[in-house]
Amino acid sequence: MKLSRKAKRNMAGYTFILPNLIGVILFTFIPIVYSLIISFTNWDFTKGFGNWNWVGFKNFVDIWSDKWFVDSLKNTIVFAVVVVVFTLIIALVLAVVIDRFCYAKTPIRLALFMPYISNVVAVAIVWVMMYSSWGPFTQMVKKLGVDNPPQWLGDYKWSLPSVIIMTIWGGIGYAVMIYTSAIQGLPRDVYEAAEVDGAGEIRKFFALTVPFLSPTTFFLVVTTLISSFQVFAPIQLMTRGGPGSSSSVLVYYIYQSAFSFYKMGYASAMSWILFILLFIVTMIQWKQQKKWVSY
Amino acid sequence: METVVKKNYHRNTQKYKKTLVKILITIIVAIVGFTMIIPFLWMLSASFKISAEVMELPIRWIPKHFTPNNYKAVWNIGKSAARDYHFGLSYFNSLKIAFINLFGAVLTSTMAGYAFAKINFKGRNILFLGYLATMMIPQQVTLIPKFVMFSKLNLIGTHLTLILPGIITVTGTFLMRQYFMQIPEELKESAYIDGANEFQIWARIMVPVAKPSMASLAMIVFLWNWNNYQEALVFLADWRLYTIPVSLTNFIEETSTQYNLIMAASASALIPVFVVFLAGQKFFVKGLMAGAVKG
Amino acid sequence: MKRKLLAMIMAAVMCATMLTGCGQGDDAQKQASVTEDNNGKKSEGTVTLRFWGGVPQESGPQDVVDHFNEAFKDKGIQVEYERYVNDDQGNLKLETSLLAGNDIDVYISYGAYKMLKRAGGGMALDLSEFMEKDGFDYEGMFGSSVTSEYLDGKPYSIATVLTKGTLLLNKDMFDAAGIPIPTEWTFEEFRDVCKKLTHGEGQDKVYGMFWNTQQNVTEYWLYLAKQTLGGDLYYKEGGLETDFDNDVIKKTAELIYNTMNVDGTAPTHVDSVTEKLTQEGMFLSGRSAMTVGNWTIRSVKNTEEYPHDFVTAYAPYPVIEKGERNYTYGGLGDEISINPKSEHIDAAWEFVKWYATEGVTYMAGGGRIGLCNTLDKDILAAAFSEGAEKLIDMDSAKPLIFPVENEKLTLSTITTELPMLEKILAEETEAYLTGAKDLDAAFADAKRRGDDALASAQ
Repeated sequence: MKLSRKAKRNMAGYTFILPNLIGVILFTFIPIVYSLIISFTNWDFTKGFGNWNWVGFKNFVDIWSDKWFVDSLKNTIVFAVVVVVFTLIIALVLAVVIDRFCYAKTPIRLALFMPYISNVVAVAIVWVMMYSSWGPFTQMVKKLGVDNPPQWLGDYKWSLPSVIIMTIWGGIGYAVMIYTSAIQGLPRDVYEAAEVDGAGEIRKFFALTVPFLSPTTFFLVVTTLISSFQVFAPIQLMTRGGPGSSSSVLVYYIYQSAFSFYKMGYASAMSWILFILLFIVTMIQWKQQKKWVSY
Repeated sequence: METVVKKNYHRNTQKYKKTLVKILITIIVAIVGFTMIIPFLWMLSASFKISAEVMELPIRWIPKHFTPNNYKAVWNIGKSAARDYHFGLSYFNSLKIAFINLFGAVLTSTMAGYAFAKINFKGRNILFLGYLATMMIPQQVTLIPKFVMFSKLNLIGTHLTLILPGIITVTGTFLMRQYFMQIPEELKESAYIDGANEFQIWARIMVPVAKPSMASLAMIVFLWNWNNYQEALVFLADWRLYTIPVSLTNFIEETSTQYNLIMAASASALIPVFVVFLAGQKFFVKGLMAGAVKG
Repeated sequence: MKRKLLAMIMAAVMCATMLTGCGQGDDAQKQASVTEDNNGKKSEGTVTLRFWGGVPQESGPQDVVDHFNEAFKDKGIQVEYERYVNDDQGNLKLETSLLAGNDIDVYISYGAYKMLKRAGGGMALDLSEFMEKDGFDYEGMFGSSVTSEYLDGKPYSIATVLTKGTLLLNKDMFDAAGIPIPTEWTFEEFRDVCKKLTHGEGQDKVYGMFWNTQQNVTEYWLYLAKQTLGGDLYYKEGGLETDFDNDVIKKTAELIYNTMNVDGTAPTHVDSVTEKLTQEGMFLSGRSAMTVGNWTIRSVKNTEEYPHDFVTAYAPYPVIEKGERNYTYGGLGDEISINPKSEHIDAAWEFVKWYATEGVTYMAGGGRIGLCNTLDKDILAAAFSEGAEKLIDMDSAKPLIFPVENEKLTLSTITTELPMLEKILAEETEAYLTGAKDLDAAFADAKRRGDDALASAQ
């Protein structure tokens, strides 16, 4: 039995992904298909599975005149873009700096990673306290001569930025770790060659490190974007979307619709809008990566 | 000879300069790192407080009524708790699930990630985009369909509801794919010419090189599972099966929350996370050396 | 050949992974049943009911279960309690478990909205046949107000407790200021008392009142308005239109606004939110002389976690003007239902009956007062203050927390889109309390948005 090299390759490829593929189909893909079906219904999940009425595209039409949805969508986009850009830039610089110019690498990395591993409730409470009128932010602003400091989490203008700052702070450690592990795989000889050529640190960073790490950056952009679009816990713990809907985000509203308002169909429709949005953004990056990701 | 001596001298002054810069940078990064430990310090402090003091503002770092009772209550030492929270059992359950999923997920992700990066099989890119797409639907709307599926499979009320989906991770596959992308094609080609098959290449060449990334993945997978709350809450309806995040709901009273107990429990829950993190850091160094030897 | 070998290795690895998983899962189940055996709870011929409720074990349910198991050990029924947290997440857990099947035999819902939702979804058993068969006079024993919780004229639960709302007062502060414990008062009188009780500055400031708005920005102050308007104050007659522009609602909101932002006699809403103020932190630490709601009673008793030595007294919520008290603030609660999918429905009914007429006594220590009129009020009162007799002023409590013959309670009978209306009212109240909108604008907007929501629900 002789197989062509191509056939062998196909077989090897599928064998390698098989365990993974079965799991993804069973536990991710099928529930997702269900959520798509549900988005065309008015399902209230307490009525039992399958006990629903078809409403066609009604959910997909209705959401656009829903103030909560529109506000949440806007907030989510702002949140995701700001978080991704700042988290990744800060993390990349930190990861390189720690790797090349720091003593006590492991304790420092552990410290940066602490927000990510600390109980999210503890993190949220500490930040609420930081943002209170007794906290450093208000005191700092007062010292700068502002008589009427913002109320941060209690402020219509500041509640979303406050949560964004916390999220960036909390997400850096994770990105630093992913970058650090990628840095370990960088080809040393290339750097040595560059050093011989007299390249400075900054030049090496932009000419070598950034391009070499681009597959990892692509990974981090996609995953951080997705997780930022799906931010939930900090909002629920710190502002519950308030005041008003000033810090409400999509998944928080999806959650409320599904489980407080018992509108699973409506919630699923919103999720699919979120899906389409994310998919388009990811596709754009996918096409772009061929230009800026060097393998 | 002369030029060598000159070079060495030149190198020495540069070395001192470098050391100085390194110390400065270490201090700056350490300060950033310190801000990230604050929630952890607060958590420790709160875990030794009585309820009345936990939410005091400004934050009192050293408890006024220092008490180890919270730890005693959480672990039910000396029957001091209002009831047995069965925290030890939850701890065991969490460890079991997190470690099974850690090994399962690292294995399946490394295999699939390798295939997606290095084996050019038919339909690879489409399939991979499909993988990415599954991350884009928020779990809030797939939760109930998943639940229905598991109840049809008669798995509700067992840990399999967390293990079966847990040993598969799309994000992990993505991470490993991006890492393998970074590895030069020549490494594989030369082994191929030596007559190694795909499995041998994966096991003997790729896996050793990928250790830093596998270590990162292991840490992240461990954390995900360690902190998985939403699914564990809904799928496990019996205290004997509870994991740590679910058991923390024990400390939510009807109208108040015993944050001191939550923090004592969370601080206890951090120990395995530290162990996994430090174990993972070893691989960072090892991976580096492996790369250096080869390079 | 090599490919085949490779495939086989892969398959083996996969199976191994799956099997470890399965094996471990089975272990957990075995372990679970072993634990059960060790507790001796599952012996031959005995039915073990799974009973779910939202109250922590030590606040009553464990006593309930222990007493029941003792009384019914010869009758072959035993009960095991599982606690769910009565919040969004916990209710989701309860409802999915009810959907899944027979894991739950008996459960308690908190409030008519949730209970009726579950009954409507087929998660609660119609109890009318059982009541008829056993001659269980539900309306006779529990009062005619229970019919407000019927669905299509049938009971799907038994409302076991009466939850009356009162203010909690720091009696020591009232005594020191020479103010008698009020038994009837108007908004103006209440405002004056708040002013008299407020003193100090900064961190040492003692407030007259704490509204607890960070936990729920609408619920607590609406208690005051309900005394005039009744339990359906969200809706105008017929339930097709919201009543958010009602003067009583607006005047009540104004009272809250004035104490917070004009008089400075209550922490502002923003402070409550940004400092995560709690009732325990304010009232039990002596930082406010009054607070809303009597559920804090368990913390009052817990002097280890909340050290304090003042006496807590009870007072009714104030009303706008004398003579506007049309209702007693209070409702039915702790509705106990049977899961229709339970395999032990008859045993479950035995337990439900016992719980509603007897077992609920053991919940009094946690501040829950049984509704059934066959319960002994003195025993309830003793259980209620047990362990904290010196900290609770039962003289002011008794007339306010026990059922009174023929009182008109603030029952809610209309629940159309209730959670959504709550969210709308919460947002507009927040806008008003933080000064983003004025009173008329905020409540006009609330009404407009609420009416839209009701219209789209038709």
